Amino acid sequence: MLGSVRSLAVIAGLAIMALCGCNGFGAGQATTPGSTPNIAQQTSYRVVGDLGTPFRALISDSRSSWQVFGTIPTSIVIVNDSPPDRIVVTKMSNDSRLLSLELILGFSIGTLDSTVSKFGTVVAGFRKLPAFAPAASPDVRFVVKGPTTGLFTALIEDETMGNALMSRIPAVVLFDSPNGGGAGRVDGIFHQVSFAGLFDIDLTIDGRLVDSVTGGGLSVTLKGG
Amino acid sequence: MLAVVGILLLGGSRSQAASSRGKGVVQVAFNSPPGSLTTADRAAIPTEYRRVLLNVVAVRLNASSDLEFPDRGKGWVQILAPASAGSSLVQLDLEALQNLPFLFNAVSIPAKTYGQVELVLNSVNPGIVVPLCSSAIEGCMPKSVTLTTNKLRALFTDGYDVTRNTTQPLVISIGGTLGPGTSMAPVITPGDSSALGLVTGTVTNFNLKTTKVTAEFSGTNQIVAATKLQKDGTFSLNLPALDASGGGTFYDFYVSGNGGYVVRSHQQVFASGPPLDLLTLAVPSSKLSSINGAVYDGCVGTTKPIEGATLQLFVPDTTDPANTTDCDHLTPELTIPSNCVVVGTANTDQLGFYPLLGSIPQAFNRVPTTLPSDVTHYALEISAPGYNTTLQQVAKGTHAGLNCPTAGFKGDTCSFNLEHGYLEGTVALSRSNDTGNTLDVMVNAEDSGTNKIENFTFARIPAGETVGKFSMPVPHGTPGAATIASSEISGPSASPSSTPTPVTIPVNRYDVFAVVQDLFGGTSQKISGHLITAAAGIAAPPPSPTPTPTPSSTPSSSPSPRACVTATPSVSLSVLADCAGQGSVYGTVSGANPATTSVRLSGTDETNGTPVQIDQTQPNSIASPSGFYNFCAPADTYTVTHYESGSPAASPAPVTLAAPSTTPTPCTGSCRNTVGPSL
Repeated sequence: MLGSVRSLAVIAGLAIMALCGCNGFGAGQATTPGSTPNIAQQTSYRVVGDLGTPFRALISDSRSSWQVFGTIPTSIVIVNDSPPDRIVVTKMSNDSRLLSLELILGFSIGTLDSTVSKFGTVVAGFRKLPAFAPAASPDVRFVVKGPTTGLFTALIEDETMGNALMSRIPAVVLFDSPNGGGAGRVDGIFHQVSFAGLFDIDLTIDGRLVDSVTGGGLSVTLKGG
Repeated sequence: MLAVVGILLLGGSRSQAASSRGKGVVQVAFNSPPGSLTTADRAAIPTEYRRVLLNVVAVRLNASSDLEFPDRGKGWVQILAPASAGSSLVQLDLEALQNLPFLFNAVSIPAKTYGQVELVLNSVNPGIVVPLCSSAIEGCMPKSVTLTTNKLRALFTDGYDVTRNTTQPLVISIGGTLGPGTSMAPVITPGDSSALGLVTGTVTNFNLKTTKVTAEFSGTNQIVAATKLQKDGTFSLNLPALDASGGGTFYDFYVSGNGGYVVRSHQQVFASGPPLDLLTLAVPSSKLSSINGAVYDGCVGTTKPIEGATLQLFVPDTTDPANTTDCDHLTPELTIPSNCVVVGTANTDQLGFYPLLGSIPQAFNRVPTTLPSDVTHYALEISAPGYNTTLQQVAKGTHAGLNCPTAGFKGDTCSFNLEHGYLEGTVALSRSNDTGNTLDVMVNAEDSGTNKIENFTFARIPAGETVGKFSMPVPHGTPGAATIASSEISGPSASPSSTPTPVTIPVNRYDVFAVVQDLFGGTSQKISGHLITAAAGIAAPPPSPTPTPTPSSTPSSSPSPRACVTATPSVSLSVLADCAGQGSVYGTVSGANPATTSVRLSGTDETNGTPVQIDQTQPNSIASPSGFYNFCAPADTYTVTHYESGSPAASPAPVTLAAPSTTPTPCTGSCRNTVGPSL
């Protein structure tokens, strides 16, 4: 751990039903940190619908924006989020497959939009963000690729703070302005809530692969910077 | 989501086998027959609403016939939204449901007689409507519905019998009243299972644990359902389908999981009609292998992977001797022959690798090495937005596995370079951006004269500026070294080439249109309040020059990247700085068929008057015989065109969407509705 956990963001990447399916969370999970106060509920996104449908998302908070390419289903989480937020997701196929975008506030689905149109677009936002922010710099991403049906908790840290989150796999975790947007180290400690298969996670910074775990077990750590 | 239905159906089969008390598989589907859901003034929904969506969490069954039975009483059996797609709910589009049922989920539940069914919606956000413009409500933007019904329950007239060890459909019809405004009083009724079409058959040489039969919409990789086999090799599938008057619905089927593939293409399934019997499907013995590799940008090479590329594996249905046995012999329209069936789909990760890792079984990890008789190779289509789609051959290699001899990578590994060019241009405002914020403009490039989008990007116009630039990769025109030979385009080759070459599909011209990403009341909007501007018939960039091989003592493991094209076509788009506001339009299409009818909305290239398609009705959204269609768009003049099966069926008709009464910047006016032309 690079520093003390200054704030804890319980970023929900799953719906309530999924929680029930896991029989709740046991002691030792990153979501039961004792008396550490939570920060305000955070936003995350789920792109769901017909499995394998490709999409491109443009996501922004007030400081940074990111382009995320992916396929359904994918969770997208912004760590160290600076609301308001805004997202545009475009289906990248000329067919009638379903793409739904869920904006999740805390543990509840805030807004929901879907499309079956060719290259259909869905939008969502949390509070008013007049324009998309400049591209994230540095662009730090943890891409959690497997196991594809798993649920994980993670502690994402820079040299001054840590953020706890929970999400479904596959997921893209975007770390906004680590180390205040300057140089410094980052790491991520990932733990499966219930073992569903081997972890497969990449850490990329500005598009470069800086650390990777394939075949990881119940808990893995990635570092970079 | 439909793929998940299939997966869970298989799961259900396992559960019923393991149960000692006895279970049966219930396959839940929704429909909303035309006329069952109307507006408060009994009008057709499309005349007042653009979209009606319900957020379904679960369906519950109970043996009690008391509709006031407690929510938490004993005996409720819950059928949840399929969770493997990653969501706790499914968003149902009621407009599409009026024509074609939607398979929700299939699970194994206790075999007994149930008295009632309940539809459970998301408690926080039960549904969303997008009204057309009216004086009563701001139109063309999504709003949460307010339910006026406490519980959505219905009795089975004679009970619903779930029989042990069988799969049975449960169709739930959704009707009721919508409006005024966002209020909704939905009503559910147990529907007629004949709304689904039954497909049967028998598989020989199967493995009960691994063999499955998959149904997908014909010509697509969109899996609708999949099932394992009974002990005697028989199977049955209940599929969403139109009835005979609508022409039925076409499906492709394939058997996989043990031995070679068996495919049947373009099979017509009818609701309320006789079952489709696929007869005996004899599986040839085969070993299984895998196809894996990576996809790269052909201009840069292996240092630039393509994320989100899609790979589809095709097998031809050769039951008709007239059919082609080579799926990479494109039709004159540069499409894959209609007798070819997608038997597997894979996607690339952020490093370009495929198939994706994980615990969900990947079709590409279990590919038979033995092909159907008379078929020499599989066809593998690789596509990604902004790149030329390519078709590559996959054949049995010198060893036990599968190779890609046309890929050009060392050892015939199945990695690929995709070619492309660039499209660059500017988006200019009529005056400087005085909104105080950057304007984000989505620029779309589509094949000229069609609605097939190839790629999009964003042009950003900073506050105080007038012009934003954009650049995006797009498929190039006439291909370079990977030329489509005339024999590859039409008809089987009389004498196959000894050196197989890949097929690269060019795009010769583009239409480009720009849509400003607007906010309304602080909320992101799909429909822009700014006018959509368009440019038609932009020449595609030329293909990249073929790289000159560099003499080397050691062969490269990958093909040399092509030099990136520097001569890129330039596009200029002009956008009015002021917000025009939104409008809506509805009209009718005569002789509409839900399976084939669509309406497209086109803008105009102001410089030459050429139409550019910017929107279309959603699949299955036009009902017969009413034939209503509708659109929301910035208030402007457009044309609407009736299409049948993707081809124009009538001349374009002009329509002007009425402007809002007030349109101050930024976009605060109410939109207005227009009655459109009958097509």
